[in-house]
Amino acid sequence: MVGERLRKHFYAAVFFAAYALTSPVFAAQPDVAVASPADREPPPITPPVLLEFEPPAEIEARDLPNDDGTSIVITWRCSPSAPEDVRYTVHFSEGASAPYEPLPFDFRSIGLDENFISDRLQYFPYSRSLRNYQFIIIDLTAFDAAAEGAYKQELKSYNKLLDEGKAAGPEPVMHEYDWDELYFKLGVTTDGAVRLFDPVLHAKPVTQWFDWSKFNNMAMAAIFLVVILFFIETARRRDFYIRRIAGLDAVDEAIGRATEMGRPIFYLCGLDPMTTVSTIAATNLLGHVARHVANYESQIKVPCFDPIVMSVCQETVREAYYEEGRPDAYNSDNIFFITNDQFSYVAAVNGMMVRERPAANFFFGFYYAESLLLGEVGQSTGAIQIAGTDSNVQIPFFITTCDYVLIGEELYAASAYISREPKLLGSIKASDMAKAVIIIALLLGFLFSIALLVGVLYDPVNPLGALGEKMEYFMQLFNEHI
Amino acid sequence: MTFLRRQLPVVIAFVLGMFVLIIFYIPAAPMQDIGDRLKVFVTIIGAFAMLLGINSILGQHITKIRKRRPGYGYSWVLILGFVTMMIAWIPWWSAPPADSAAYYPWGGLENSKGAFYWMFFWMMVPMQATMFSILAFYIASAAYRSFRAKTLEASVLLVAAVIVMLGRVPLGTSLTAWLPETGFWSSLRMEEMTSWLLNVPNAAGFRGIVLGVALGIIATSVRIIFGVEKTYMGGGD
Repeated sequence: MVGERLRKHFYAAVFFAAYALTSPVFAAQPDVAVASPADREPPPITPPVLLEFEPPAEIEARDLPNDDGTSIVITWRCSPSAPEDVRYTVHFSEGASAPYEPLPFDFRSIGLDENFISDRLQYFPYSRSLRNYQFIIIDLTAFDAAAEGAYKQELKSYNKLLDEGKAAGPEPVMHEYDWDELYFKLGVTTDGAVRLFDPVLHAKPVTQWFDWSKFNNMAMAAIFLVVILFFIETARRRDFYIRRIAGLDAVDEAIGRATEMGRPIFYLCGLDPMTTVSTIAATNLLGHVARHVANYESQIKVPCFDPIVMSVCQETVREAYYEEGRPDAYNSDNIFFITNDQFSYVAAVNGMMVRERPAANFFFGFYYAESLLLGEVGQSTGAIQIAGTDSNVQIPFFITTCDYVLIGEELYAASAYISREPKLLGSIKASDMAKAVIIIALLLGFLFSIALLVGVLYDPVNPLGALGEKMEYFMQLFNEHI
Repeated sequence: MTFLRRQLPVVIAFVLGMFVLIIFYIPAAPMQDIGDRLKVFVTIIGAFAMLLGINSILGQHITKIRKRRPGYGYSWVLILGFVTMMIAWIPWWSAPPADSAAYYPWGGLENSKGAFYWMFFWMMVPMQATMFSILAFYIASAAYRSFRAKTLEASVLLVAAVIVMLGRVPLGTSLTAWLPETGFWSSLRMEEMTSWLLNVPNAAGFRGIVLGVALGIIATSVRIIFGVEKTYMGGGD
């Protein structure tokens, strides 16, 4: 028995010794135990990967073009070195000879394969020679925001100490950065280690009074504006052909059906506020629909998602009834606000659809996820449904549930189509002209792409020379904006 | 009177419309500040318009109760809900403290600081979620109606939809996993066909609609700014 107990103790001792020798818990830590605080913090050692990193060339800082005078941009030609896990960073100082420190706000370091200036046509001209240049934008207002944040934090701690009756020291003062005295250095970083490069960078932000990156936009808008005004003027003298839009032709049919059945018509203006053009288009169309409704002596109900839209709809319908000589038939209670909570609105409108069984439902304006909920319930009640929206992702839902759908721009053309007002038709004609120009541009883009592809077969580096460069520019522009 | 009703709104629309259009091209802070202040007007008008909205909905339901119309009991529910939520909110006039919401594993986010938040999190949010979840069933019924292969177009839609649906789930992609990952035959893999359908014909259609919508928006904006379209103000064109 004793021998057995001894053997057990022996095995236990061997097991413990084996565990103690191998476990990190029992490992000796003499350095940690005896080291002074100064020894614990090793001197900053730049890792070899940073030391071997070949500095980028042409590092420059300048005012960020086309901005409100609050940012500068640092650009450089890419370094031939491309080690993994190394990123570009920026440090700053408040004087040319002051020590450099990390930026006082959250700053995301830049990878070696991102922020190429050829990808940001808003700030930089496109050129093949600039393909290998990268950039970092420094928003100087972030310095002020960081100073304010730090000040508030210090003030909070200061007040807390005062409240507790402890010594709080001098009252904190907000640090003010002088933008003219901010100097920067580009560097590379990995695992917290940083290596900064010369030269010292300094630039003064300048307020811009015209955003030249939008010049082409302004030129196109001006030309389009002139074309619209030209066609509006021309429309006074001659008739324009406008193609048939089945959904709008069916409006009369739907109103007539409602009159025959003695049931109301539901008209929804979407979920966007009055500031969006699709809602304005929906209220324009409401005026025409209400006029027909007044003529047919039918009843229209407009449940609204937004109180401003409700007010506009009330006024629109009231004017329509007055113009048709039926002010007695107008009932402002039929244009009412429900809620501006998306699904509460849907629940209310769906409930009314099920209870009142409208003969026709009109869904015009901008819709979100509720489009299918509204369409399906309306469809289940047997109402004739006409929808019109410029919300791309909701168009398929309306197509599956509604009898007629106005797709995209047809919503904007609806008012002109129904009224046949020459001035309005003129603007539709102008849109068609602009579309023709866009189609030509797309065809040219297609030809450019083919030409570039063929050009690459002969010269992969510089296909089609300067012409190819222009083509690339336009394609880049197109890809950025469409 | 005609000037106030007809001409003044058009003048305001023209002046402000052109101003906002012009400052789009001017990044300088003074101009952008004015633009931002104009946007604040919208918020202020919206806040006052909300009173009109409340008046509208309460008026509707009070009339319904007074006239004992069918279902007037639900109008009581609405009015009681409105009044209860408003009273419950009064102690929490200001925004709740940042640390007042806690996450409970059995029920999610809960605010223990007042009845308003309790009602919001435990009544309002579940009811909204219920409405949203109905969408799943409606998508199924709408898809069933759309995908019936009665015509050539519907058949094309059906085939495209089946490919996209299969290409989005592991079971679907496993059907063509035996095809090579590179080369010509790889384009027949389910995920490749799905990507092609979404990125080429679908994206082309989308871009066409987007371009048309953009032009439509510009044309409508010009009509409004220049006073050609006045239907939104009520009355004739």
